[in-house]
Amino acid sequence: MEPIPPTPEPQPVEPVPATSLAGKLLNVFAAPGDVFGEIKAAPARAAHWLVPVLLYAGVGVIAVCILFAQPAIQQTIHEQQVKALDKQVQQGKMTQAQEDQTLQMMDRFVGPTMLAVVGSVSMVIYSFGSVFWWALVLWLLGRWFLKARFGYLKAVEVAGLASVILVLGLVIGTLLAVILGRFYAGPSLALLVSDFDPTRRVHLLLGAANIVYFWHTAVLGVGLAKVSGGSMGKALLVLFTYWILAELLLVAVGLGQWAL
Amino acid sequence: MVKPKKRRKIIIFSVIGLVLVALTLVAVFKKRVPAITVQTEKVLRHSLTNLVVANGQIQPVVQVTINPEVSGEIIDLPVKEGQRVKKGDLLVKINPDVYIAAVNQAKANYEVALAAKASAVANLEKAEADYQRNLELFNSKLLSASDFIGFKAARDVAKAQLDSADDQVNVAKAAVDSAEDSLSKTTIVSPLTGTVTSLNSELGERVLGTGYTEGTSIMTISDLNRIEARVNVGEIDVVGIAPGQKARLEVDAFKDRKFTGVVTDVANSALGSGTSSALTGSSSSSQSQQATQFQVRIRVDEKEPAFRPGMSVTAEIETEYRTNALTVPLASVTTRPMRPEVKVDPVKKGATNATASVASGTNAVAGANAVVSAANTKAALKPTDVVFVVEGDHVKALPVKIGFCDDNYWEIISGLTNGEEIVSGGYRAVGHDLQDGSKIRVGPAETETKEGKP
Repeated sequence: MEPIPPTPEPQPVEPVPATSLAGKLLNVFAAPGDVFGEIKAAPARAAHWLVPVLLYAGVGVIAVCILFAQPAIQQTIHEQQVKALDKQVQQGKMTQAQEDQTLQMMDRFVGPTMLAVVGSVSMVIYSFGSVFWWALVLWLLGRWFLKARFGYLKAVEVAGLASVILVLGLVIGTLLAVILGRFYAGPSLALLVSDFDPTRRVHLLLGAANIVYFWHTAVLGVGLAKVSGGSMGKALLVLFTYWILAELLLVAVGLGQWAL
Repeated sequence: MVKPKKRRKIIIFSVIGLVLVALTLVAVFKKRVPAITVQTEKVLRHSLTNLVVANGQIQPVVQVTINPEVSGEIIDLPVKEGQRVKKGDLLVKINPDVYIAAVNQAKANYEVALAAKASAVANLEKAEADYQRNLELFNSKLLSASDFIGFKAARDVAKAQLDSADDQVNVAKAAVDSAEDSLSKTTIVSPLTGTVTSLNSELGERVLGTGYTEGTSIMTISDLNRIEARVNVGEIDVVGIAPGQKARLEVDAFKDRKFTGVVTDVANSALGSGTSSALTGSSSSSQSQQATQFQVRIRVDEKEPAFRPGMSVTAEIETEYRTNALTVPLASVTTRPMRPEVKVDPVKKGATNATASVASGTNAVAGANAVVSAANTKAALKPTDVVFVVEGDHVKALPVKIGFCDDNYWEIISGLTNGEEIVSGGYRAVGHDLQDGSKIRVGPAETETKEGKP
């Protein structure tokens, strides 16, 4: 009887060290699959979504303050306000006297500082709101179209980490706005339009065709695929379909500025 | 497995870093030209009226000063100041006693002259008869020549005496007529229907006739149904004024009413400084202004019984009128030093070149072109009327040819088209700050902004 060769002892598997939060935030740009794979495996941590959201809100507040300090942008906003009021006068919803009075009140009370304060508060609310909204979208799409069961908090972590793409987009958009002297500026097809008008649907659609939004949606798609365990292609298809429909719907119902 | 991932990370972060650094550098070092706040308006068509404004007084068109032609005491003065009189009404009666006596004396002299004439006629008849009788005797050689000459001379003397007596009669008759005329002038009647606008003499006052002196001005009769404004216009404006032009009149006494009128007369010579001052009542006017004013008469269309000669009036005379003229606000036209355009007629230029080529070959062509080029490049900057046209967030300075203006607008003869958006304010922006290509932003005027802020 031949001696049974000794079973080689299993080599001790070195545990892969968990990526730090900063590492995760950076890897979302370059290797989102790894980050979200790690997120799926690890227990939920509030820091995974809270830190990116706070970063998003902080950068947003700074961006708002910079933008509203630009005279050209202040003028653009004023012109848009006047244009909107003129439209209401033309439609008979407002008299010329009321428009003049409204403009007078706006000039008196709605200065750049007030706009910056309101904009900053809105930015904080929006940053939190958008992450939770995207998380809800991921969670629902995962359940309905990918037939996957994962917790809402996992979706929040994915949406939160993916929001660092939006932070980058915000920085680029702010720099472009300062350079171009336009309030609505970003790495989108709207850069081709010299006199961007947010009341025109075509301009809004061009503005929505933003490379950062594509990138963000793609990263969310990767995250959805990872946390749902489904196929990457299906997750991306579902998410891009939702995104396109959502953008078109917003533009169609007159809320196109939310699509920017 | 690790290497490609690492490489991908490096590439992605490098791209992101480069984009951010590039954008930041552009944002930081971008030349920020502060936008100039302006107000804009559209080039539109309006009707323009060029007005000349002048001050003066209300005066009747017909105004007669009553001066007596004979001297004497006023024995009857049946009118009062402000009284309406008709043509032929008695105004003044001067004591006629002296003039009646003068008439009587003249008539007596006339009678004497007539008698002297009758005597002369009789003398002539006698001398003629003597002459005829002695002529026959002389012809029959019954009378000497010396005696005959005596009769002939007597007849000639009688003829001359008759002529003299005849002249004396005429002189005496003229004296009668003159005395009667003087007598008739002791009664002065109104030469027109009107109103006694001033009465300077009183009953019993002695007045002087207008013999060698001006005489006493007893009263003034004015026809207040026909009123005119006599205004003083500066020499720069008067050249544009002509009879027939319409005018709007503001009489100080009628604050809420405006009257209309028509220019009837423009003075050919300037008013004297004293007259001007008196008419305008402007003590602050400079001497030069006073010396170069011309009186313009404007007939008032409306009949207003309350008009009084001497009331102050301001006239706006419409010297020019344009309908549907291309206009811009007054404040939008300014001057900037610009290089005048050297326009070369292509046909003429071609002809010149062709001639030059024939004359002296290519050097001549080069010379001709060089002249044009030099004119383009070395032409001195000249102050030019410009309007700033809005092109996006910048302005373009366009030279314009302006016509005349009214209170609000300049007429644009060339340089702009209807509907173009132009800069109309603020004052400093148009007058000083804006240059061709300046960046602008449309906003309220500076004063309004400052006032609007709490």
